[in-house]
Amino acid sequence: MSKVFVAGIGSTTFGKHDKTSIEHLAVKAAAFAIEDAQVDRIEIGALYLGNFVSGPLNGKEVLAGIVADRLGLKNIPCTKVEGACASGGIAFRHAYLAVSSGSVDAAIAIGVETMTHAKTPQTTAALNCAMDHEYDSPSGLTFPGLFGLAWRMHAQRYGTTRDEVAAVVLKNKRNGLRNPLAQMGADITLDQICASAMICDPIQLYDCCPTSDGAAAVVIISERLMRELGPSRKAPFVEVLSSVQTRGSSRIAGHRDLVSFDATVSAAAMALDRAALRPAEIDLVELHDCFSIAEIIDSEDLGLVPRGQGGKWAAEGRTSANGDLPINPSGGLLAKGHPVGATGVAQVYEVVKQLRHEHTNQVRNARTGMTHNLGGTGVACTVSIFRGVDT
Amino acid sequence: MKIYRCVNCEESTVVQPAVCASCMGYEFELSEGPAEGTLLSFTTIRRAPAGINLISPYHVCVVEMDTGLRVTGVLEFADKEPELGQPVYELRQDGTQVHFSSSPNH
Repeated sequence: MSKVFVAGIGSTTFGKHDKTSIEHLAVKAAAFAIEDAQVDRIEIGALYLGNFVSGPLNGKEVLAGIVADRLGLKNIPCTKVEGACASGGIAFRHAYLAVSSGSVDAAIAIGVETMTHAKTPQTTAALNCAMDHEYDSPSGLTFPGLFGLAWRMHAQRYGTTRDEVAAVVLKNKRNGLRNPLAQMGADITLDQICASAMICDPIQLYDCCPTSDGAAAVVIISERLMRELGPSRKAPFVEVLSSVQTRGSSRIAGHRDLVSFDATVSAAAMALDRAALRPAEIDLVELHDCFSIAEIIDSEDLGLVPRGQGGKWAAEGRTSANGDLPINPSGGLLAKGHPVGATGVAQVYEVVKQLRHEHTNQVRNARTGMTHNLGGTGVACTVSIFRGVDT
Repeated sequence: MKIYRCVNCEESTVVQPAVCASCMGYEFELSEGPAEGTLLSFTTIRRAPAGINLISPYHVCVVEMDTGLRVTGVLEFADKEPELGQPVYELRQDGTQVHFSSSPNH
């Protein structure tokens, strides 16, 4: 495997873009990334596009080829990938594989979703497509319900409290205020969180990420192309040290433990091993906080926080942007928003901004960063690790 | 509760498999009888997904049977809110939707 570098990143804001088509959002993000990369379009040898529900919500498929057409890319393989909420992370990993294998010198990963134009029952039905319909759906389970089950068990086993889980919401909402791309940054109070509507006990409204529209894109290149482009560049390159994809159980009842996702545990272990880094050497992480309790479980599964301590670390401020282990300085899914197929690519965008030291909520001296994208009921996961390149 | 058991390796499931995920066997034995297990966790769904035959609010649970088989089902409270780790009892089965109760005398 040869070395791979992020040359360019692009993103739309996350939020309501119901007057803009899904193709336009994807094309805009991709055009920003190509411009930022200062790579000639002709160099791009493969396109991967992550999207989850454009079929049911927009009646549009083959988006990868359509977006390449609008970008005027040459005759290259264009592939749409789907892995529920991990679709973007999977698109990024495929682009990484295309470059690291030596097949192409440059590839683009795009993630996109539009959801806000749809009515809530339509959106809920579309998102529920990611559930195992033979085993889990007959019980009437929903995605907030899955994390309600996990929270109750985490609370029983580790004594995690409502206030500790709320600390995740408070932190991410405040981080979101410092991110111009974020949909729902806010300076809220513990009382507001505790008074919000009950969704799936103990999950309340503020514990859930919003539905969003948005797109993000990343151009990645080989070492050869990096050396060629190097002298004329303004922005520093960021090396992709590893990018791993794993599978967990598709059924809730198939998980060995309800407060841990095997797919995350194995992806993190492999990604760290391939990057030759220890968990303590990760300077920041953008992880999959679709619900507040998910951030706590993810941080433990990734091996970054001791098992059972995720809530306490959040409450003690250790996961804030200036803490021991900054988690989701972008605001995460809770505040930045979760246009499902875009999220995994947007996480890469955020980490690259941090490693270039140009983020509006900058983590001091950030050298290494991790992204974590989880799909379905833990059936698909990607973890990638990045390092800033001194120029 | 209906349980499908692989004739070759005895792996059991609540949905009839096309192939045994444990040993790739094709033959299954169907057994049916009262079931009870341990309540691992539960939540209350306040807004039902479209198409489900349940009226919200309702409770969803994960139950571990004595054999180790885990089932995602519907939980009916007998009286007070149940506690994690307590025994629960199968009430009825509607296709692959299994209802459990927190009391044996529900």
